[in-house]
Amino acid sequence: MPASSTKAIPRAAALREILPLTDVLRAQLGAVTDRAEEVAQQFAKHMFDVDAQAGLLAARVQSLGGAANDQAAAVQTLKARSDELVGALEASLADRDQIIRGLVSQVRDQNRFIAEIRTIARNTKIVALNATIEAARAGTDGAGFGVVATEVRRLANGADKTAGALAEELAQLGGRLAEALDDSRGRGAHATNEAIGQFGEAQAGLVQQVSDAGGRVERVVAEVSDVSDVLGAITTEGLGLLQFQDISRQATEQVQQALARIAEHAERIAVRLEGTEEGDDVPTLDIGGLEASYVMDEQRVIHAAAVGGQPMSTASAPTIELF
Amino acid sequence: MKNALLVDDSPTILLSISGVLTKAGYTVKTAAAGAEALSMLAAGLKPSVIITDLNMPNMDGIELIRQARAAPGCRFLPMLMLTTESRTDRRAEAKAAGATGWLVKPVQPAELVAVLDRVIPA
Repeated sequence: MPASSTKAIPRAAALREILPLTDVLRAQLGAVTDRAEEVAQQFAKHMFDVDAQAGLLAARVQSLGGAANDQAAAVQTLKARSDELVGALEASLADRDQIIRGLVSQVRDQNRFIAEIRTIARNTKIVALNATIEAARAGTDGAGFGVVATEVRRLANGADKTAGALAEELAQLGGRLAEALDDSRGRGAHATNEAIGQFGEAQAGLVQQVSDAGGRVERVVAEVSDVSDVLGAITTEGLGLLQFQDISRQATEQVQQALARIAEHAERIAVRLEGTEEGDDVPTLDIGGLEASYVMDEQRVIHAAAVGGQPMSTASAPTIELF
Repeated sequence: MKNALLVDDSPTILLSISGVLTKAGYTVKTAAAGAEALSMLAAGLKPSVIITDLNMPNMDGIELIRQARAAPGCRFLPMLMLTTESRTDRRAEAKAAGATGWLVKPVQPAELVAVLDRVIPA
């Protein structure tokens, strides 16, 4: 056996050591691909969860905004009702003043009747005086008439005195009513107006606070809605990026196929070395066939860069083409 | 309601693209193989569009489109290829089989939705 042949067998055996190595590398690449696929799917599910939670958060905040609007509307309704009540109160106070003014006027009108009573009393006293004089002239016959005249004069004096007292009482009553009226227009009116003003200010403050709070809630709702939209857009972009897992899977599968080709090539060389098969002494590895099997331009570019040639171009086909 | 039939042997692509389309307002049905997609059409599924991968086991996307075109109600249905394949000869095959368009992965979500807006009748 020639020396070259005696060395061929161990060389073939050494070459065949490549075979289990390529098997291991292919298995490792397969495991990486499977793991990447599993992670990609978990990632997608997480993205869906984030998107769902963002939508839920936006919906809940929107609901909160609706409740705030309802509250603001309720306060506005309350304010309108309060305004009505204040208006009614002011009208009632105005009516009360009008009634008091009427009473004062009526009391003052009573003085006219008192004056008439006093006039009647004065005339009665004159009549009584004349009757007394006539009774004196009549002598004994007029004595009884004189008694009556005296009584009439005393009654007239009593009526005059009573009329005076009544006039004084009415004057005091009129004064008190006028004073009460002035008081309701003055201090009372001031106090009432002040109370109504304070109530109005407190009410306006409350309405403003609710309005401000409503405005803040609206801004928060808008901001949360914007954030939710941004999260939705990020989710969509993230889901789109997952396509790279499929792209890398296909590229990895082709590397696995290339490793299988290397193993086959090594086996063919080993067979030649052992001289058990006729053929060329050194079979060629069809690297051009590898390049032709690529599906992505990026693979062709990387291949060409590695072997120092020009990529097998597919011209400038657009990435999106409608026929 | 717009609805899409998405066909791909990659579970990740099915999740990814169906998620994008769902967020764009589509109802999405998925199939992991061409034969499964044809069965769904035969069972009465009426999608607004079919989006299919090219390289799949047993039946590739071009053959799927060829057979789907013959299905009742699918003559004018938009059918798009969504693939990593960039060779122009394969595009020509797809066009001859009745494909409406060709999109190379990765496609931007907004671009995909814009293409669907163009090919699906209002």
